[in-house]
Amino acid sequence: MRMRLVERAREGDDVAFTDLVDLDGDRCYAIAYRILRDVERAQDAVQQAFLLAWRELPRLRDPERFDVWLHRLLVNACYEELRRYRRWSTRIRSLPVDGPGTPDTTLSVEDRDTLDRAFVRLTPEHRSVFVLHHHAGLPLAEIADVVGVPVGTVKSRLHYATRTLRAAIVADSQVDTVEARLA
Amino acid sequence: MNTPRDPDEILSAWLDEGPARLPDQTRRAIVVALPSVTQRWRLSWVPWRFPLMTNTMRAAAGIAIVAIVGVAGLNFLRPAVGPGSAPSQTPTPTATPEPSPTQMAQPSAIAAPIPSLTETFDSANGYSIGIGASMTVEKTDAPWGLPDAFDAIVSSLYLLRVGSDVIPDGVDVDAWIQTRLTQGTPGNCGAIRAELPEVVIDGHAGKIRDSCGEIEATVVAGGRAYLFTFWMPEVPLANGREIFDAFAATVQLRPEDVLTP
Repeated sequence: MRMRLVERAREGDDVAFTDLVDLDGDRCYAIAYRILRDVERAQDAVQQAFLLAWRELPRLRDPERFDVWLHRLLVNACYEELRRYRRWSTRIRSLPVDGPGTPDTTLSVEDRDTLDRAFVRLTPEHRSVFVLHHHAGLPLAEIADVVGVPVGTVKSRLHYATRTLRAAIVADSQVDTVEARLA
Repeated sequence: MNTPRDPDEILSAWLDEGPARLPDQTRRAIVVALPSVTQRWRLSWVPWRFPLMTNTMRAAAGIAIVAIVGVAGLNFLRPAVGPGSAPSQTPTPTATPEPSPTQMAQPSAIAAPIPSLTETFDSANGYSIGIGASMTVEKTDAPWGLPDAFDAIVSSLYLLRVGSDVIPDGVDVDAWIQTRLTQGTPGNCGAIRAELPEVVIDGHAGKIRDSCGEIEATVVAGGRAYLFTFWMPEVPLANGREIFDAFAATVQLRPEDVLTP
């Protein structure tokens, strides 16, 4: 069914491609938001990735690789957004109009703030590997295919990103403990 | 408020937050833009690649590429609507809250075979180490400290990152390494190096930590600090320490061999 949609879209069937947008749009948006931490930029990245996918789809040799290929376009679109963001924008962060999704009530404001700050200090390459693995659940070999680096580099980046974020939480906890002792 | 203090649990909760449904406006903007984006057709008679290319074929291909680039250059001068301009049509965001499952939960630990380290990797960073035939090595020449400035020894189940750097004269070694562990590379999982258990690698004393899903040893030899981090990215290993020890037993520290820039 899905392969048939890819094949039809590759032959220029925009209805089939629209179905693919319906099938993959949410997943791509969730990934893009988590890499970019900004809803508007995530929407731009998703739009950019899908329109590029539509334009280049006839050149996709193997329809079964559509997912990997689409993820690659999406990650590249996110990189481009981050580059553009760093080049031109001020450090104002755009928040969702109706809040950041469903806030987890077990996550404290301090935790969220700590992780947000630690995450934006990661490079785009570290962010994408972390999100593709821990959010999208892609195996490391597939991530290597998506981002175009050896598996070892993916592991190394994932290790670095995970440690950075864990360390931020641990450091924050230690500050909390010290403050509690002093209070 | 009941706040979880397990770092992985907090990371999972944080990653779960955020919109998960593509706004309808964005979806519509993509669909509406499709007719204005021309698909790039692949000529059906052109194979994906020639199985064997002779010099004549290479020359012909080169001429063809020059011709195509010329035509493309002319086309480029004409105004066109493409995906580069399309994303500016993105409407006002209306994120739909919907959590999505994250993959932070770790599966059960397994015991991996102790590797047969029959080959030797000689690093530019002043050490050598045994590696398995099926392992790959990604080398670095940079001193320990930058995100990717480590040699990475990679197997299907684990990763061993090794880095080294010169300890500046006159510093407190424990404090200097601690700073490198918490700044040059992130964190030390809350551990204070001076309080960690001892380890000996190639006859040189050091400290070892086994926590947060990784085993990390720091050793000093000849005025140089070495960092060995053993990590199991996908499946935790019940015998991770044994495997780390197997690697450590093959290490030869040769700080005198490092070429100074």
